[in-house]
Amino acid sequence: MTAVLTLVRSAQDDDALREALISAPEKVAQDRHLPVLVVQAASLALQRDPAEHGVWY
Amino acid sequence: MSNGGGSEQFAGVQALLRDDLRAWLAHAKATYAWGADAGVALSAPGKLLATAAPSKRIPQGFWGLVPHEVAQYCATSSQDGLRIRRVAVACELLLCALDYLDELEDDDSSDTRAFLGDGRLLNCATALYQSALQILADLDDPAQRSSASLPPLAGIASEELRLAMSGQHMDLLAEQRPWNEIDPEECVAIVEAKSGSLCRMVCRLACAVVGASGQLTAQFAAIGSHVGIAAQLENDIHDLEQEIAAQGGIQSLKKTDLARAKKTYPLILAYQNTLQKSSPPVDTTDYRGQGQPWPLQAYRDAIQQAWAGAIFHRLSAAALVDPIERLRGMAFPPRLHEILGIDIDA
Repeated sequence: MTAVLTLVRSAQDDDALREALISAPEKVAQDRHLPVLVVQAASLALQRDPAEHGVWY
Repeated sequence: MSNGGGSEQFAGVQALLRDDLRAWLAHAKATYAWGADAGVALSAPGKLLATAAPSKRIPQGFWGLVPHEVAQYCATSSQDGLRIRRVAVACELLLCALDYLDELEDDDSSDTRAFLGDGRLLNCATALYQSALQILADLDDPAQRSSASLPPLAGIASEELRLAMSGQHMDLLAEQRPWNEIDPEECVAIVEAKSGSLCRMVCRLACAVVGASGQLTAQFAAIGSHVGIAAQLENDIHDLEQEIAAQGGIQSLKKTDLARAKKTYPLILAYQNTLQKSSPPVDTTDYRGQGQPWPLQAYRDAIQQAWAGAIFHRLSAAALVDPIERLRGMAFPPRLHEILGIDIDA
């Protein structure tokens, strides 16, 4: 989970990384040697519609 | 991602569990002074006997439905139906009790608390808690067990509940600690202890009541931990979003997590964002910076960061479905995906 946080923080300061995470998360995982789940989570969070809610509330 | 489980697919199970719970409640009302108040508590929004319109996201009696669906999937005998329902009712009572205890500890408001008052609500929650444990103890009775080798349900509940209470205590203690003493990793560890343990307990009880294998139980326990953590993070994110939306900013926040300086995951992240991104740095000794609010962008970034954490745990839970299906030799039914909130399109 620390890796997810680090990745999202980086993407919030780096438009190119943000775009890559949204458009080609598999490539980001490969290039940065990150677990696919970590990159998927970051990618989905960056694409989240603020109006979207979680599952349990 | 699933938008939750307010769908009608649970209606049949809910009806069965409601019948069982009403029968239990009738006995409690006839026997105990707290019985009538238990009926009020179990009819609050989200609870199995709720009379209000169901939530779009969470089915009524969620905490009874989770163990029911997990146990149904793991069961190898049709003879287990009654025992499964009794475990489901015990979980509903137990989590209902813990919900009200949490409400009192956090000084949160609800219609039930306002109606019953703190003393009656506390006593009623304690009675529900004890009643749930008694149901589990009754199921552990050798005369009621289908196999002497089944793990004791009361022991599982006791083990996980003590962990959950430790997590809850860490959470309460954290309110008194300064922001710079708690990092995101510790915050998630607290969430795992206080919330992951409860969902894990429910999954373990479901597996135990039907005598699921150790491997299958371990996988469902892991799913429970992930789902419990994700749900708590989502709850904390939602609370922060609501506070920001309601106040049109953070300058005049009145209540709950922010006002109590609760060290929730998104707030810890917002604190760190404030330290890292503000120029000149704002005073971060207080959540509102002693009159100088943390920048709104720090909260917005924190919400996105925390959301990634919640998704990570949902995805981690979803990743366990394949191994479970291989172990069980059977596909996960849609209802199980739905109730666990792991039908994620990634």
